[in-house]
Amino acid sequence: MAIAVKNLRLKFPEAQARLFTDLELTIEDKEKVLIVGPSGSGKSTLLNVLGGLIPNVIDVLMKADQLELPNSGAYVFQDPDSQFTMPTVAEELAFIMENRQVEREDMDQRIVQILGTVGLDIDPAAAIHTLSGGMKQKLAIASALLQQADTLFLDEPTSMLDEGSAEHLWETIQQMWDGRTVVIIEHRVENIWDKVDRVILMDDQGRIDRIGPPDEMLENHRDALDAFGVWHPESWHNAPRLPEIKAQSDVLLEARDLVVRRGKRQLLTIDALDIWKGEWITLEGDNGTGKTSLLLALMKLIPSDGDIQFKNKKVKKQKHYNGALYPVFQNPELQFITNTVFDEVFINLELHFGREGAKQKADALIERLGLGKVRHLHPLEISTGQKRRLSVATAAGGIPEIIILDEPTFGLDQRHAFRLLQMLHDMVKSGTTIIMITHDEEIKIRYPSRRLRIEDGTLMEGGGSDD
Amino acid sequence: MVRKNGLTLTDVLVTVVIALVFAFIYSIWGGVYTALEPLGLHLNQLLYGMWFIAAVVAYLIIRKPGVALIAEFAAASGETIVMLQFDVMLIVYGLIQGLACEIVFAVVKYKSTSLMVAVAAGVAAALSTLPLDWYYGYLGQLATWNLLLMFGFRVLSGALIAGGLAHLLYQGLKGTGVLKLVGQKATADEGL
Amino acid sequence: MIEAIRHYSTPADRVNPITKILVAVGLFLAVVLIHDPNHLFHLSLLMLVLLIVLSGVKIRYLVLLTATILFFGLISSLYMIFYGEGTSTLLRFGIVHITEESTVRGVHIMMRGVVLSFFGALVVFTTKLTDVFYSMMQQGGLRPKFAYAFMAAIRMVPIIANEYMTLRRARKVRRPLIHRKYISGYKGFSTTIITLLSQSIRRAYRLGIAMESKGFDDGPRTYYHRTSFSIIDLLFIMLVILTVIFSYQLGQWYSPFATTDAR
Ligand SMILES: Nc1ncnc2c1ncn2[C@@H]1O[C@H](COP(=O)(O)OP(=O)(O)OP(=O)(O)O)[C@@H](O)[C@H]1O
Ligand SMILES: Nc1ncnc2c1ncn2[C@@H]1O[C@H](COP(=O)(O)OP(=O)(O)OP(=O)(O)O)[C@@H](O)[C@H]1O
Ligand SMILES: [Mg+2]
Ligand SMILES: [Mg+2]
Repeated sequence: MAIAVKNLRLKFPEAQARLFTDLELTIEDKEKVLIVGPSGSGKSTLLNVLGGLIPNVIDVLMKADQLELPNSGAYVFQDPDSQFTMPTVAEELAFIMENRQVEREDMDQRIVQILGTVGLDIDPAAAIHTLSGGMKQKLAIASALLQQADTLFLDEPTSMLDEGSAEHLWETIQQMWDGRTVVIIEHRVENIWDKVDRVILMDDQGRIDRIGPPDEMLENHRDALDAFGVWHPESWHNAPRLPEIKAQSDVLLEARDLVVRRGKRQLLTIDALDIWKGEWITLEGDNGTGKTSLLLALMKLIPSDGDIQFKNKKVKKQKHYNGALYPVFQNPELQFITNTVFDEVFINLELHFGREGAKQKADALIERLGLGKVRHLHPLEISTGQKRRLSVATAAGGIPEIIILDEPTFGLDQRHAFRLLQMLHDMVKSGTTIIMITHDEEIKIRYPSRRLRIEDGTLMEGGGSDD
Repeated sequence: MVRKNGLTLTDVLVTVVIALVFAFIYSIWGGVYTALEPLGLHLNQLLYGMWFIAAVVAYLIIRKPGVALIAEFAAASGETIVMLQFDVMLIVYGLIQGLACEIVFAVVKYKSTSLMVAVAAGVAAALSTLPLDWYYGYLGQLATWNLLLMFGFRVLSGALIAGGLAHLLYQGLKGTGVLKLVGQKATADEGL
Repeated sequence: MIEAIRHYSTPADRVNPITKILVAVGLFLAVVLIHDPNHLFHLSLLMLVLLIVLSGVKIRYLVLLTATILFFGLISSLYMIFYGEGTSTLLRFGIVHITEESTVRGVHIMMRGVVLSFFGALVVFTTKLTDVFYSMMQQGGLRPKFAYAFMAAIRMVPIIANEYMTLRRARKVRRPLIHRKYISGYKGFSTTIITLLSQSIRRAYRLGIAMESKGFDDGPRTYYHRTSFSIIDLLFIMLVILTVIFSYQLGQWYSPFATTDAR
């Protein structure tokens, strides 16, 4: 047995209640388990206990009747940008060997070797910030392997990656996981569900609801998974079926001979792009192809060449849109400017609907997006999924004519993702145009009235060649 | 369980990052400072408190000995890191200002987060480098009214910016819930 | 980034960073103690020569840098030129009173800054940031937790800068929809800083945990980059000392300023 925990309980400083009740869990040596559960159910916290980060590194009060932990565990975390210490690949890997007091003479050779193991074909002297998200996560895995840990803890390692990179990363992980215990937390489970030995479902009270082999969980306990809003390989069977909406006949936005740059690099050239009233457009493309940059250029937030017209008027500056074109950014945190969730929605409506009208509308929106419980909290304090919903709520007041969403379903659980899609559908029905960037194949094939794709530095109509 | 007194890695990391954020902001708005200089009327001194606001904010958040000194050192070397300029004078000044803050915080035993403490630290830091300036910038040979102006602006800035503004930012940060993660925590052993 | 504007490497690259910093502190003290503007004049010139020879930076960047340093140096000494005490008046205009003495004193203060800036630039051009911390650990006895906290935090600077840009854009697009009281003046300023700080603290906290999960502790360790003191350090120290002495001699031989004491 690699891990055994009995009656674990834990309390965060300043928290009212304790987390976990009667939590009991055993994980066999070399077993691969997947932990799923609603956001905030305590998955990450549990992982931190199992790897000994709590209480050794994170100062949290914790007790258990029995606590048997692996000798050595290594982590891969969600955010590629907050898990590296050093500027270059070699230095980062060396950092781990320095910690383990590996002799300097042995380091170079091990660096080359471990990069080979995870299939990272890069110069060890490369700066980490030049790597793509998928490469960074591979580097994180290489780091974990260098720790020579017998247990790997993966906390949503693919959540920042596009579909292709995510699939690739899971392949890499599987190639090296023989002989190790692996505990995984993941929202996007389609690549990993049937590869693990057991799936653990946590409920929203910090309890383990049930545990079972993946196929059995899917066959016998699908309703439980759905009830907790957890993604599983067959989630999309429950997806809302929405009738396609015909776009209206007036053109809202026209771009001609658009050239999008980032620094000195030319990212994209687009001859012509027309966007009609009432369209639901998805924008696809691999990480780093310039999806976000294109939207920023359309908004006139980064410099670009070419002509953009909105309702037959030339747009030279962002303010010429006068709020009719409204984006929801990839990092919702950065868009918030007030101190409460309610105010955040309210101020966007206030000027347009007056105080009372805005209040009512804001209340309705907040309820609709399931933010009622957190309406008095600070926008930076709520969970990632809640932040994302809040940022959509700020856009949804009915004033903007085109809403641009940068990966809006990212990090949402099944329930909230479906609710959001339903809401977008309603908005399109009432005449709003939606442009959304998404990596999700299922969304792309189900909902949009038109698909755009960035490939080879230009924009193409239709889906990707690989689906 | 092990309770760690003294600075942990995370404490130091958070302190340095706070200082670098201020160094970054300062480097963006630094133009203002320089633009005010040609008048020679020391209006630039009104922004002087920006140099050690990091020390006060970091202290309010972490409340452990050494934090103010590290923050000041980091803020001073921040110019090297952010703008690629190495200025020894700045680092020497930073260390002196950090020490001045530390002394104020030590007096209140690293417990209080009141506005008064923040203001006191700001003023102490503002005054701490005057002797060095006196010697380096020949302040003794300056018209008296001009000297008093500089002196007054600097103390005012220390009190308002490094004291008052730092405290406001601290309150604002508390509202964002991030302070639950870091710093000296109240021990709550009950409840399990 | 710096490598891109250099065209050769120099012996100064091999000087231990600690030596450079200590020499810089020594130079600072020396400059504060020098009151003879003629001495300082030649010291500035010699420092410029050292910068040109030892930095290995392409000349057009050095020209730009020198111009900037002179410009800012002049600006920061104007208070003394305008309002310093003195007897032989050159110009009086309202509260401004420029005298011969105050001008010399102002230029003297400016040259102090210039000497330090030239040397500082030399250090920046010839030193890798990571080496500074590695040598502080190996030769300076700095505890690893401080060194690595610094290095990790430095890695976050571009991320923070990027975040700031996005923050600015995000505000720009909300501007047309909301009342200006939410976004302008102090309110806009403080929410910007608070958001930036809050995000950075969260990130630093996560990074701290990640570092410790990778087995980092404050105990003994090996070093990937090895630094040491060598004969080059000694030569570098002597070079700077000789420069200070030699510039004094030059000051005796050719004196552009009439006075030998700026006070
Ligand atoms: N450092 C902390 N201080 C106080 N409360 C915390 C802290 N970390 C987590 N919590 C709370 O503990 C609960 C469990 O958090 P945890 O991060 O483990 O959830 P999770 O299941 O991983 O969620 P997600 O899917 O969003 O990552 C949440 O309610 C969270 O607000
Ligand atoms: N501020 C910037 N300065 C210079 N280059 C940038 C900047 N931001 C992004 N880039 C570069 O521009 C390219 C496109 O970035 P962009 O964010 O638009 O891609 P994306 O398709 O949205 O990727 P993702 O799927 O990861 O969100 C990337 O290669 C990136 O490195
Ligand atoms: Mg989590
Ligand atoms: Mg993007």
